[in-house]
Formats: sequence, C-alpha cells, structure tokens
Amino acid sequence: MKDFLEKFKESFNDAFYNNLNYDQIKKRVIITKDYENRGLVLHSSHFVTILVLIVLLGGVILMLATKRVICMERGDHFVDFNNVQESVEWADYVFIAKVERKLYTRQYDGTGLKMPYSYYELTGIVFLKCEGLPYDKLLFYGGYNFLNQLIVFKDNQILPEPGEYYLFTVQRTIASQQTSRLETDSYFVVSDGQMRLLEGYIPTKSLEEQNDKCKDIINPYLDALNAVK
Amino acid sequence: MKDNYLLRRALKTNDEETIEHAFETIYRKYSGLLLFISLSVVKRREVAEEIVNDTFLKFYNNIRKINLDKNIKYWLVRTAKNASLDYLKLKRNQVELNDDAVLNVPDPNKNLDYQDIISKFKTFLTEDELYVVVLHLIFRCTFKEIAREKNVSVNVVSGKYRRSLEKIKKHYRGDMG
Repeated sequence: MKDFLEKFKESFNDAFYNNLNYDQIKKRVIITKDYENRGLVLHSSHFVTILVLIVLLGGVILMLATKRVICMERGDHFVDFNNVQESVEWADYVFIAKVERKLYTRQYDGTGLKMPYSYYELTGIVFLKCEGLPYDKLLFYGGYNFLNQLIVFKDNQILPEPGEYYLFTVQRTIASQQTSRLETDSYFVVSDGQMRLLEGYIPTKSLEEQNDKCKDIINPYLDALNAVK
Repeated sequence: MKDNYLLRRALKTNDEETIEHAFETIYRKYSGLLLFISLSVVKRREVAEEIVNDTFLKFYNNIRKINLDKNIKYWLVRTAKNASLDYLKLKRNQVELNDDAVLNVPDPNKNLDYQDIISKFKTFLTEDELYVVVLHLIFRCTFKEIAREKNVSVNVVSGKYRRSLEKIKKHYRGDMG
C-alpha cells in the first residue's frame, strides 16, 4: 500500500471510530423459525396426501373385500335347469367331462353381456346325448374382472374347478352369437343346473360302477334321456 | 453475494447459534459503513448509532421476508440512509411545529462527531470527495455501488476518486517531504 494512502487511513481511523457491537442489539434480535414452520407445513401437506392415499386405498380394498362377488340377474329363461327332464330336452349335448384347465378370461369390451367370459378346456368327454370330440372348449358366463371381482349370474355362482368331473347339459354357441369375446362352437354354461359336480367320479369305470353319489346325479339324466328317445 | 450465501446457509440450519453467528458476522462487516453513511446525513453520532442498530434489527427480524437473492449490503445501506433522511425530516417538522422552535434549533456545535472527521480533511478534500474516498478505500465499496448510492454515474465517482487521490497524495507527500 502506498504511504500516502496508509497515512490517510490512519488519519481517518483516528477521527472515525466504530464502537458499535452486535451485543448491543443481540437481545432484541428475534430469530424466527419460519423455515422450520415451512418444513412442518410441507410435512403436514405430505401427511395429508399420504392420509388421503391411505383412505382411498383402504376404500378400494374395502370395496373389493365387500363386493368380491357381483351377482347379475339373468333374464327369465324358458328352461328350468333344475328340472332334469326339461334340461335334457333343451340341451343338444349331455356329457360327462373333466375340466382340464382354465384357458383364459375375456373381459367385457362393450359386446355381449356386461360380465367376463371364462373359457375352460374339457377333456375325456363321455357323451350321453349327441356325439362330438372327446375334448372341447367350455364357455362359462362369468369370471373375475380386472379388480379381481367375481361377476356371475345369480344362479351360476360357482366356477368350474379344474381337475373335477361334471355332468353337462349344454348347447353350443352359434355363429350368429359371435362377438369379439364369444367364440362359436363352444359349449356354454349359464346356470349351475347345467353343470353337476361328480365327486369321486372315476373315468376308467363304467357309469354303473361309479359311487352312489355320482350315480344319484347321473341316473336321472339317463332316465330322462331314455324317455326323450 | 457471499453474505447472502452465508445467511441462507445459516437460516437453513435453523440452529439459533449458527444464525446468531451469521448475524454477528454481517453486523461486524457493515456496521462501520452504515455508521459512516448515517453520520454523514444526521451528523450526530448517538443518532447514527441508533439508526444503524435499528437498521440491523429491521433486517434480522424480517430476514425470512427479505429476498436473499438481492444484495444485502445495498439493502442495509438504502435502509440506513432512508432512516437517516426520515430522522432529519421528522426533526425539521418538530422544529416547525414547536412554538418554542427557536430553543430547539439544532446547535451546529452539537454535530461535532461528523464535523470532527470533516475538519480533519477539509484542508485538502471536500466533504463529497472524502465520502467517495472513505467508501471506496476504507469500506471497500465499488465505484458502481457508490454511484448507485449517490445516484450518479460510475465515471463521475471514479473521476472524483482519482482527483481525490491526487489531492491526498499531494497533501501527505508534502507532509512527509
């Protein structure tokens, strides 16, 4: 630093003295915690958001839990499937078959009935009325939707169980019914009266050799079929 | 902008001690400058000191509302100067309204504090020149800051500073010589 500037500074410092001290105002300084409050506000808004999400999620879960099965009314049908005679007369096909596996579910896409269509593979078909291939496809009206809710007809609430044998009284879907979801030439089931579970059915045995429970189910159909003939 | 960074960081911690430390640093850094500026307006030391402290209090107690992206130094200088001018205005009004005004007219001899400083340099520097030199040389204000504060161009300030240096040089060389 040049001498004359040093001299000037010295002279100034002699004349001007700063005896101000932070301690003079320290007690009057109010340190606010706005940032903290803002943090709290943020936290509380997060909290509210999380709470709303939990409530919504809970609502959805509750809705799913309480409305797990949605039953639809199936319009009046001219066939009483619990009446074996009537059922056999209506059906084009009466057979015993094993539900091998579930193939797929066609979700409602604006066509047909407002419910999913579930397709199953049938094997080991033993025909009692009419003839066909020993394996085929079954269309079950109903099934699980995207929310995992079961939508079925009121009188057809039990889905086919893969691995089980049933006695079916069915017709096939026809070409005029075809939509993007409905596949033609599939046997279809709209009522639980069309699908009788045969517990303990042994496919290697004749119908006469099946257990009493199975025979109690099968025999009325055989009688009705004989009567129709 | 270093001050802004220091303050913002301290405030973010929400730690009272850290904030207090930042406040004290700012106070130490600018209290002299503010005192000189205020003194140049109000002339009386005790009044200037009060104005400076009030300015800092105003700043600290409203720190959350103040935009820390802007220049803190400028904010402090502006506030202190405005407060000083307000004081003068108030004082003048009080004198005008007072029936016994004659008795309350400020005695020029009471402005000794600022006059003391001026008188020490008045043989070779004008009050305005002293102001520029002190702000630049002692309180490290840039020409731009001084120009902004005095509402003149940077060239005016730098020219005045250059001329003042010549005068100072001449004065002290003569003194030394």
